[in-house]
Amino acid sequence: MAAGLAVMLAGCGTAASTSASAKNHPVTITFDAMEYSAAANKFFPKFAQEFEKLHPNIKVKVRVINWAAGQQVLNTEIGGGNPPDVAIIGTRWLPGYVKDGLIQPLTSFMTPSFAHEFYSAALNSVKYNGVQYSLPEAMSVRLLIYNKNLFKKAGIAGPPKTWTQLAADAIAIHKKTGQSGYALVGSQVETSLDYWYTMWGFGGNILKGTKGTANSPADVKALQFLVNLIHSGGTQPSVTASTRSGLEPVFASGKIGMMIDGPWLVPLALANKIPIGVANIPSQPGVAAANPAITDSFVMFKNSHEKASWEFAKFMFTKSVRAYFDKAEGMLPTMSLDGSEPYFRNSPEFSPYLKALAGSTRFEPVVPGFQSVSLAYTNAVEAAYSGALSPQAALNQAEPKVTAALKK
Amino acid sequence: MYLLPAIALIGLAVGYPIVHIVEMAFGNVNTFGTIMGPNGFQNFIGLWQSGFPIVIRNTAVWTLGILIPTVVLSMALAYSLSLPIRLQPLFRTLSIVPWAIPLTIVAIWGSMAFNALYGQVNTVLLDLHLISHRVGWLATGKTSLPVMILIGIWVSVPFTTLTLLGGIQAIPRDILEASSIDGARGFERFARIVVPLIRNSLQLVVLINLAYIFNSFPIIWVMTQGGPAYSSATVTTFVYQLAFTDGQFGFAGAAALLAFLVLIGVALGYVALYRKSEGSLL
Repeated sequence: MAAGLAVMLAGCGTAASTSASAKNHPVTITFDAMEYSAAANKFFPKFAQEFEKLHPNIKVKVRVINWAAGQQVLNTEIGGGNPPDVAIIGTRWLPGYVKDGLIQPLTSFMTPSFAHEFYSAALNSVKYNGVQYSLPEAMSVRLLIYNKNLFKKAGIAGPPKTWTQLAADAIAIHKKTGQSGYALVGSQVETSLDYWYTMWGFGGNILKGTKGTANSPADVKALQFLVNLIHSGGTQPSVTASTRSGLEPVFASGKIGMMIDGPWLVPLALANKIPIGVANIPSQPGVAAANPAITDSFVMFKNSHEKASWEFAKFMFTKSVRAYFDKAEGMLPTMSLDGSEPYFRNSPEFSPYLKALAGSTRFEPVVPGFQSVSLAYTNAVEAAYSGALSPQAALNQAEPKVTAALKK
Repeated sequence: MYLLPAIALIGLAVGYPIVHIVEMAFGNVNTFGTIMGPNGFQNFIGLWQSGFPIVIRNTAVWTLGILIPTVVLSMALAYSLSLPIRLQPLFRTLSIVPWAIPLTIVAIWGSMAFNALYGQVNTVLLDLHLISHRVGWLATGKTSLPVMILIGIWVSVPFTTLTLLGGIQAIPRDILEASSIDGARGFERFARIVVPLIRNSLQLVVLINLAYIFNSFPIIWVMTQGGPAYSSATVTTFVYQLAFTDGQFGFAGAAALLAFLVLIGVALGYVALYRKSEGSLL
């Protein structure tokens, strides 16, 4: 017994003296990454390993989280007093986290030369209240992708420039080919964004200052237009059971004439030998056209390992990491990636999107409560698509919810 | 005294969540689930305005819509399987197959079969000229709820049948023989002799199914997520959505508390009813 105790004590002594003699204090930082696709489960840990090789004193614990559960997981971690040190988040969540005092502003860390490596539109899209709280992680522009086969069969010369024309084309495709004309998302979280494509094209806005404008005449007109399109057979059947990720394979198999989506849909369609074209999103006459763009945010939570966290952040925004990520996930570069530029410029999947990025774009507003704003829209739009409420009544219900969410 | 550890464990495991739900229902809860202070009845008012009345109606339709057909069908099946028919073991095995498939897989299969664009259900109905165009089964609560109820019945029947079959097999043979000597035949024998004698099993399946169906989550969540606009949501999916999609933990706590009270009330009422009429199970 006594001997055993002595051995144990001796063991403790050795361990303690070893750690004390180590001059470098190793730190462990946690990184909450999002699962853009199945590949993310491999490449995010791989990036972390490469980083650890370069920085032997920093260990990175990677958690790859499903996007759908992302905010829930993060909130649970924060609520339990265990937030990550660095994380990828939806830019929609950023203002809320900033208001709760959780996010470290990057102003003091960023050197002008580092900032200069980013495209300014990308960098500006993840600012909140004019402060750089995050780095632009993944950027996509949404454009109108159309099936040239179906267009030809329906006798349509080129992509529509206005929504009125899009409706006529969509109905023609359905009548002449029997396939669906326009892919409309009407189920779950992306319903709101998919509706905003049209709403913006009709001259509507999500908010004006701190007030919601969900039931403005332009909004009601846009929603009525889409409801009419559903009833006249211009969309796929069963709109309110269709998610974006559910529609993508249907479009890629050649059964839908037009769909608004990001660059990742292009290779899916090309893999099935579907000839496609990519065009700007339509807008009504007199309304300035702008293609919607989305960026995710790479943030540093306030923590006690700021130096190590920032080292890791810088590593994640080196050219090799960026190029690997963008190619793997079909995202647009947020940094000027000299070496791989021709790849992006010449690929059929990226080139129209890169061109669109140089033109007029529109990002979602970065305001607190945007998640609730989006939810209010989703519920209203779903109610109108399914016929439960008229467009006017549905948007009238949404408007006070939007305004209340913005005030929170 | 020996029971103390067990009581403490049960108290912690069952009691604490209930206390926490009450705290949340009457508290001002932030998006991280932390209670910031009292909030009176504000959560209940907010819950009501978020579409809770539709959800209550859906929950009643969902629960009774599955429970009643399940019990009736299972009774018929259990009785048939108890009769000395040919290939009886084969039929008994087949009847438990739906039970062996995980609910999530059943739900994924259901959402594919009832998909408007490529689902087999539309294809078959179109070929039989029973419908003229593809129907969006899951696109409105009016059609998706009945579809999901059908699937719910399909997965609830096996367990219920097995339990009732056990009840029927426990009936002493001499009673059945005596009744047939006295001239009890067919449906009469079933209604007058068998049903009263398996009252205990019946109570059990009604109570277990009631709680199970009321709380059921996977079928609805996988097939429609309660949408569009909550038209196919039940209390369970609604609570999940409020808490984890919308970040409204206070509303979710209020809804969970109401659901808990209703379920406890129904269960106690049911037990009391059966105690009165000589039921002896609980």
